[in-house]
Amino acid sequence: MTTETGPDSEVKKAQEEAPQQPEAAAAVTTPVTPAGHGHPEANSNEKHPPQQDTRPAEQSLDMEEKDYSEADGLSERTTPSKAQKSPQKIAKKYKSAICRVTLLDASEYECEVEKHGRGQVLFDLVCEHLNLLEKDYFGLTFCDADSQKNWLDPSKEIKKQIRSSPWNFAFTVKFYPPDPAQLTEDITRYYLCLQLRADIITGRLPCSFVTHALLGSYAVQAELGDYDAEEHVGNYVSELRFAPNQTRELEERIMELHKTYRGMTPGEAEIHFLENAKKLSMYGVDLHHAKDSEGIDIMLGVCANGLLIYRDRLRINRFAWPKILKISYKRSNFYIKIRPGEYEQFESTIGFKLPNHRSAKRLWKVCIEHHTFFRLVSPEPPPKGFLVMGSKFRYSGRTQAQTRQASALIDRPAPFFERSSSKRYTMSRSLDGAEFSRPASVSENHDAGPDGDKREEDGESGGRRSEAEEGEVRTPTKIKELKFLDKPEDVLLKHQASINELKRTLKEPNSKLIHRDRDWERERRLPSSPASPSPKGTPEKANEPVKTETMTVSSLAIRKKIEPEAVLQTRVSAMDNTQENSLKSGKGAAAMIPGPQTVATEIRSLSPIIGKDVLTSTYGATAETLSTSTTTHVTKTVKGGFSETRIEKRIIITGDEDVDQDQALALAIKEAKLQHPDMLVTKAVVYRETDPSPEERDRKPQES
Amino acid sequence: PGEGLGRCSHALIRGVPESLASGEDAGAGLPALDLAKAQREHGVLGGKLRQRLGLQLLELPPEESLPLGPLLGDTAVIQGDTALITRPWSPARRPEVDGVRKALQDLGLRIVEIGDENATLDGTDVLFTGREFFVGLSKWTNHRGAEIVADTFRDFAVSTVPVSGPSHLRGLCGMGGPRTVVAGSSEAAQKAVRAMAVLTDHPYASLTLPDDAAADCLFLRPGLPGVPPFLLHRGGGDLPNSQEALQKLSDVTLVPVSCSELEKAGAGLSSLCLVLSTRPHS
Repeated sequence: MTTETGPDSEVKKAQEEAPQQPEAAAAVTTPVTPAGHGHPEANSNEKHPPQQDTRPAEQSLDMEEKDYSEADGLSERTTPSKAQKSPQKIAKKYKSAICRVTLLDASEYECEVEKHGRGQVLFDLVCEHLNLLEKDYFGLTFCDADSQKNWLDPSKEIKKQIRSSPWNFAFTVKFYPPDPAQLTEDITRYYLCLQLRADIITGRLPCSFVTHALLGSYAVQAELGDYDAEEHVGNYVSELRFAPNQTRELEERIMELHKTYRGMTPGEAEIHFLENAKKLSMYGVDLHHAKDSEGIDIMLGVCANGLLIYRDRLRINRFAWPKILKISYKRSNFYIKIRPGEYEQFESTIGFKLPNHRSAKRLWKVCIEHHTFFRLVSPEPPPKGFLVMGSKFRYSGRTQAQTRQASALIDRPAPFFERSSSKRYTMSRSLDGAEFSRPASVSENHDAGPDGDKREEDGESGGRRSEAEEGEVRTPTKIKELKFLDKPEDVLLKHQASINELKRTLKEPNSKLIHRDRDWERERRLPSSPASPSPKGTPEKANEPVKTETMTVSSLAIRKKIEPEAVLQTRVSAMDNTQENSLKSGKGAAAMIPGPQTVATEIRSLSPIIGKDVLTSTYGATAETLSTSTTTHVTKTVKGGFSETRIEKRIIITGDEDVDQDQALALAIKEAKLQHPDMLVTKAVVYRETDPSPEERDRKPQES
Repeated sequence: PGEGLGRCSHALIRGVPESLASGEDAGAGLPALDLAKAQREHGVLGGKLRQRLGLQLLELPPEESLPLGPLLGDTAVIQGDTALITRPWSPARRPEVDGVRKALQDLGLRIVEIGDENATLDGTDVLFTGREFFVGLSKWTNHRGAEIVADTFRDFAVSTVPVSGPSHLRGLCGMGGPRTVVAGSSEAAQKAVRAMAVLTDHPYASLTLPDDAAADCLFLRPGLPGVPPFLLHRGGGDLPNSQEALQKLSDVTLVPVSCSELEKAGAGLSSLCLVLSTRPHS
């Protein structure tokens, strides 16, 4: 919505627009100007006449008001008098708040967003200001009441996340691309470099002296251009920062190297910078303090490949994303369930203690987000472990089409931008001569623009398999879109894919599924508890104790449904037998038995419902169904002398829409068949539950 | 990535003292060796490093007070321009580092010391793959020692690998190429390799040899133009089965070296020499 001068015309316009666009109150971008200038709120609100002159004060007042006068707000909207209603409604909608964003060059950017605006709105504004199109790698952080950095969730209201903290944000890299050379635009690389330079200076990205010098020299080349004996005299880099502990020796080495780069453009220098930075072991690793089950201080590192466990600076364990079956948190504990190793029988659950509940939740969220982002962007991961010599597999590494697809969406000439000399790094502004024009040749030769994008989408909705199965990958930008705007379509795609698979399976002539129809027993349990809000939908405070088990990643979805979850429980066969779960130990991150409920019953291999897809569907931001399954094996000697092995599979499918019971059941059967092709399905029991109570939920794994 | 593995211009070895061969006198219950044979083996090793590989060879003189002096691979961890002087587990061996330190200093390497008395580190518990370090937590090297490796070589991921039994990590595995791990077939060796596979971000090919000791090989790249890299390995009658298995490696010139006598004192190729590069690396 554009701001116009002249309050009267604005009010009129607002009145016209209001009925059609309840959400029109998106960002109102104004540079910080004196109150009453170009602001729709200025004199439209009859209810608060003093507003005009005291806008800044009024805004903060507004925010407080909101907290304890929610009811008033609601009643306002329902007042019968339309004449009175509209301007108030409008005024309420267009009330805005000032956001202060610290950018990567340490400069500050201020803007206004509608008070109830979501994080995406602010983020879009900042990116627009930065002229950044490849936005997926970035995000906004804010400091919470505990002075901890939190990511601003784009799909949620800013207000609800910030609460009582000031509206100060930092624009930050969220996902560090494993191959920065594949980014389409120089400007994206420029911002990534700024972030990495900050990471190096703060010690977040440790490196050797040689690397400090190398990276520093490229930074100087990018910022100052070619070495010029007349301009660059003496220690001309002393005002720039390159390392946490900068020595004269380092500065001299940097200057030495800088001299050898004549002719290198800033874009090239930044590519060299990134090529070296990306190799560093802590590149893109997001660290969280924790303790292992023995109380030893460790760090959990979340990165593109998975979860790393550090003790001091040493890597003592690593869990690649494909190895992790489930991520959950409960109170201040964080748990991961991992697949059994090659030589192990059982999956195991490993727990870590975080400083508090918020940290556990934060870690959980960061894991989910990284997993989603990098699984969909990265090349097919190489096979676990070492390859045996002579295998045909070739590791092709970086050059994967998937990561290039991101560039297909960008179709513009390379933007003209100046490299602002970083305040963070200098005492005074250095000379800026970075007025180069870069050719558009940086962009890849893919079908660029909206057509390419559309084609891709059409292709997918045409019933192709989900990406996990065919290695097909969505671009990061697309992912974002799907996450925040196209959720229903994406759910549709996933269901479509499952249905297609299912159809295929059922068509198999020797499928025993068909023969066994008659023998299935079906039970339905009516929705039990009343519609207490699902974990997704409720405000965080109220339901924190409940939100302890695995959750669908609705926090990344734009629509929060305050609906009960439909839990479909399918049980195949009847017996239950518990066996000891062998938990990993002795690696410094010993298993933490999370209380009486889970361990004893998590048995044997947990197989995904649809191959690799389960991980995506379990944690992917785009999926609305969550499925977990546990299998128990029982071997009994039966009369007549032969042994009978019965397998019980309990598959819990959770979703926030009506889960298709038949489909879920069929899928469950199919999975069981895939796992045990020489076995017959003898019995299937289906329970349908709505929003089980926490107690019940906790007890579930123990059920027999 | 990994292409920096094995870059070398110099090699450092230390002569065999009589005290090594004299058995009980050497302390720590060493068996008696055929001194002449041990010295011959050592001489041949030096010759291969200098002539076959074309390295600048520095030979430190033998010291009677340091019977295990020839095993100087335990006294330093070298990568790039930095040498970390270790703190060997055995107190009797700690003086061994002095001569090595001086030599490396003279060659222009940056020297890093271990000040912490709680740290123990034997150099042959460290495997550098070209892209990352693995430090064996063994009888000889503890967590603190491993931590110091990580602190010293900050560009690289440094992961710990539990090592069971009396071996050092390098007595179980080595690099056969920038992307190839060579390992023995003992349970300890396979366990170590499995641990490494879990810990790494990079895919490696793996070659299993019948004999653990054969996995202690040296992938070396003196960098002479047009000359492919070398793999210095146990040969000349030592461990013939493994020698054959090594033929599977490609893109390396195999250089066999026998050291079965020295092996009785606990030596392997990784402990008998230190290699380094004084040329600036890209």
